[in-house]
Amino acid sequence: MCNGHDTLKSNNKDLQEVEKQWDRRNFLTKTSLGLGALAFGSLLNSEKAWSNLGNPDAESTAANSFIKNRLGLPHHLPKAKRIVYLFQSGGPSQLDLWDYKPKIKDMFGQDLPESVRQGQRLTAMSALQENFPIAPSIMDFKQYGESRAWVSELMPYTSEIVDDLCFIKSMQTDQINHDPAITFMQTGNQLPGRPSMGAWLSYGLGSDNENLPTFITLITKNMTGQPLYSRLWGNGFLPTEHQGVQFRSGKDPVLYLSDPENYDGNDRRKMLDYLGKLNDVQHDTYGDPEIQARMAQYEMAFRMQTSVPEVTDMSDEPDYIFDLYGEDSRDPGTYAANCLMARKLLEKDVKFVQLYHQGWDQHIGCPEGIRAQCKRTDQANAALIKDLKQRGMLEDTLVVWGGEFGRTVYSQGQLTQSDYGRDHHPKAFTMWMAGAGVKPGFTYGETDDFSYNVVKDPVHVHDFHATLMHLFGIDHERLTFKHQGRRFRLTDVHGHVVNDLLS
Amino acid sequence: MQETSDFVLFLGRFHPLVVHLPIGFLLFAFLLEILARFQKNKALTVVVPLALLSGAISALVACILGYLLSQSGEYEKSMLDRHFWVGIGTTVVAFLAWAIRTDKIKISALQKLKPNMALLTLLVILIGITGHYGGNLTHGSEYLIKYAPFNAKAEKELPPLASLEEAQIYSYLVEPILEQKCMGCHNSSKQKGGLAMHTPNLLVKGGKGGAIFNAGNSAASELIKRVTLAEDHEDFMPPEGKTPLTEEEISLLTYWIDQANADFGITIASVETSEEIKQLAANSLGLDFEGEKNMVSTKLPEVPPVDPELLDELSASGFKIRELVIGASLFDVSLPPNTIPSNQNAQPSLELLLKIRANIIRLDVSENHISNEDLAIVGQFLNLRQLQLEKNPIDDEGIPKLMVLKQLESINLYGTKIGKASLPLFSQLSSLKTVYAWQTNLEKDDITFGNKNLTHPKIILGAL
Ligand code: HEC
Repeated sequence: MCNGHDTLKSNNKDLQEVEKQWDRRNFLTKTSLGLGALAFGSLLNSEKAWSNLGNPDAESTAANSFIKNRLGLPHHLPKAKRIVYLFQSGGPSQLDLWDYKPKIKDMFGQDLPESVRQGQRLTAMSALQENFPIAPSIMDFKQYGESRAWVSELMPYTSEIVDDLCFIKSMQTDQINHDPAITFMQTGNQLPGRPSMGAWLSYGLGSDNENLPTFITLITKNMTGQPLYSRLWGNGFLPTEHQGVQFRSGKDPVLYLSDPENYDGNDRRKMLDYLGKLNDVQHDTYGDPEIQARMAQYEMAFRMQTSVPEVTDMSDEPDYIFDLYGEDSRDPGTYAANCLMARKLLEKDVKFVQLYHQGWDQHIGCPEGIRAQCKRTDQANAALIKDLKQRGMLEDTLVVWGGEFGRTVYSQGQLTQSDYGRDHHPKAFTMWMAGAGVKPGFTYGETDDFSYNVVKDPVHVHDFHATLMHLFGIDHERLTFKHQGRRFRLTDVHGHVVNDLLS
Repeated sequence: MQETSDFVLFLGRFHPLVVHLPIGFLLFAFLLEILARFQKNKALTVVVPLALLSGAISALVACILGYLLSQSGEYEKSMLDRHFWVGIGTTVVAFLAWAIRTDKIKISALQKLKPNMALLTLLVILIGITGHYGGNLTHGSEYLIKYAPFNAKAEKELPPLASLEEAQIYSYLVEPILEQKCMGCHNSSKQKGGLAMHTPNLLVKGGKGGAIFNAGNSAASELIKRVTLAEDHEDFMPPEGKTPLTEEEISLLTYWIDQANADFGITIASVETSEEIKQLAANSLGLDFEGEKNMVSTKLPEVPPVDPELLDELSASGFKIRELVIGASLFDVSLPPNTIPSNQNAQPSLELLLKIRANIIRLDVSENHISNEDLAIVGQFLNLRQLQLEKNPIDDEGIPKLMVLKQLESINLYGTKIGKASLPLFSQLSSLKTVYAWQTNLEKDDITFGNKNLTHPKIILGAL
């Protein structure tokens, strides 16, 4: 079939020369790819995942036999089975939301002492500023719940659930600009090319639902801000099927799932089987592992034809659920609707649901901007926690809220009594987690009076990653992938599990 | 102590290999001599001199290698000396036997005694003695007779305890750990790294690197450092291939060094002891311990391994099985919703699972038409920690059947018909932390007394 070139032989002398070369080249590609395929085979994590491809019964047999984890995972008893990561892109101001700093109330407009800034690198946006006037938050803070956690007036719904949350006030990152910082947060490295957290988990632990992708990304529609590239949920050098699948924000989360007009789809299974055979031939010839990854994707798409319409159908959600998540949740593609969708996907045992919400980059007009952002997200965040909790899912679902960095205490641009802007700040910011295996109603770490430096229990992004892996039963130092001659891991050569956060 | 060069040790380690050559050669000479006598076949004795000479020379090589090996300083002096001298004796006698046999030496008095046979017999005896001393050196003097029928079990019997508090921390908790996991290499005859642990004095003395613990400071104690390193670290103890200490065992060692100041006589009662340690101690001594409140043992249950084919079989009948800790045979099992249709009895399906009932610690059979009667089967999964029964036709009558699940930490009953009658039962399950009871007959008023909530376990109702 595709081996036709083997029979191509010419009488022409010149052509014969060319053919010879071709053969040698062919030999080289085939052998090198073949070796690559051998190596790849040893990296696959589930014994039976591939053996049935191209076999008409693949779906049923693969799903109906016990699949032992080939990577020797989990290393210890996992607390978390799935995760929803509510990524707040742009860098939400910890100073206006969680990190209450009453001492600077009467330092309004004073220059930030050099002893605090300590020559800290600034972005190009405020590096040229002549002074750094302190801008105390104009938001009203109160303590809530039995845990007496501080929350600003901007998050009224979240303040109701603080006893389920675990705040980390001492997050630190290495990066000061959006793209490297968000890449760092999602992949453990500032440069593009590494696998994202979700891809690592998919690679390490495999799927819990054969009919849906293991890693799904949802992005709030109609938001502007720093761009989000698909590499943030990419597989890097891990096998392709571990990349996150982005659902579109809107009514039709996955396009072209329904059959075109005048086609009933009855012979699609047959068609895929023949395609599978052709691809098998191709794979036997070239041994390219990506052919198998592609075949797996076709099969996944086939199963998604039934599974996706089912899971994205909101019509069976009662009104009180929409009321819980807020009015927006009826409008597909909004943050609230995505939170609700996330719950439905998690219910179906999708392992990693990643939400992105842009627009937290308040360089100017911070109070107004952040107020609007909270309005779009606060109720849905709280609703998601409550909804997961009442279904018992918070028991083994991890919820993470946070951005790529924090914001400065000094005002970028004009400071007035009611308005200020805030620049990027990597040295201290706040995140929260909830659910599986983390301490509820707990606050960890402290910043100084300016929310500028961490003074107690710093948690670096690498530590956060290590802790997250730990909750899934993975020793972050032992989940590695060899690529270009070196073993890589999510935490590179860093990271410590923050045991104090674990329940 | 002077450091021995690596090369000397490298050669020395061939000693255990080479010693078998003289044993073989000399026994063979003995055998030939006897056969020759019985069968009156002179021809057989022709090779005896050769066997004797090979035996003698290889014995000499073994002696030299043995001397090199002894330079490691890992062997107890007096036992080593005995092995050393008898070994040399054997070699000398072997050469002597060869010399007499080949008439290199002629002593008329000895000729008459049929000296070959006599000397050969002596050789065999000497080989036996040398071998025995050598074996004692490598395996310890108790090795050979430990399981002998005549050997009354020499294990130290500790007097039984009336209560946990009066247990001496060292003898009851620490020593058994060291004995089981370390003393195989750190004992009277084998002192790897110059360290012996079988008496308190030697334990205090430490090894080549000096003291191995720092009373009151486990973090600065070599003993703790060695057992908490990464498992593939060169210095990790016990070395590769031996069973590492469990987390519980490490906690107990740490407790002894920190809280008990590494004292050898002190009892649990006389030092500050956390609830957790008491629990661990009770587990290790097989005593009951009622913790202050709902203490759950964090230790994973030890369960028999499961035949992979059985797992395939269960998967084929619809169960999804995930291994929770690799190699521990502990599973999370779930049945996708509505696998069991409403008109069908769930019992046969659940009974399939009974074959691995000890291995399941999380079970999810939500939304599968499980009835009160079926819970009698669920109640047999004694190691369950997390149980999901939501959206099943269950009510208060079913709950008593679950009261045997002493390890249960959370139970999901949302969307069932349970009500107030089950509340007292939940409180009786001491390890139970959370009950999910949204959309049941339980209401907010049922779980509030005055303005106080029921504290154990937590009952989670709906958000609205
Ligand atoms: C299989 C044999 C073996 C077992 C079992 C074993 N060890 Fe060792 N141990 C050694 C050897 C060999 C050395 C010397 C090499 C070294 O220092 O790593 C040593 C050295 C040590 C030392 C350093 C002594 C010094 O001062 O240099 C300590 C401490 C130690 N072991 C503790 C332990 C403990 C605790 C255990 C039980 C958990 C244990 N060992 C079990 C073989 C063993």
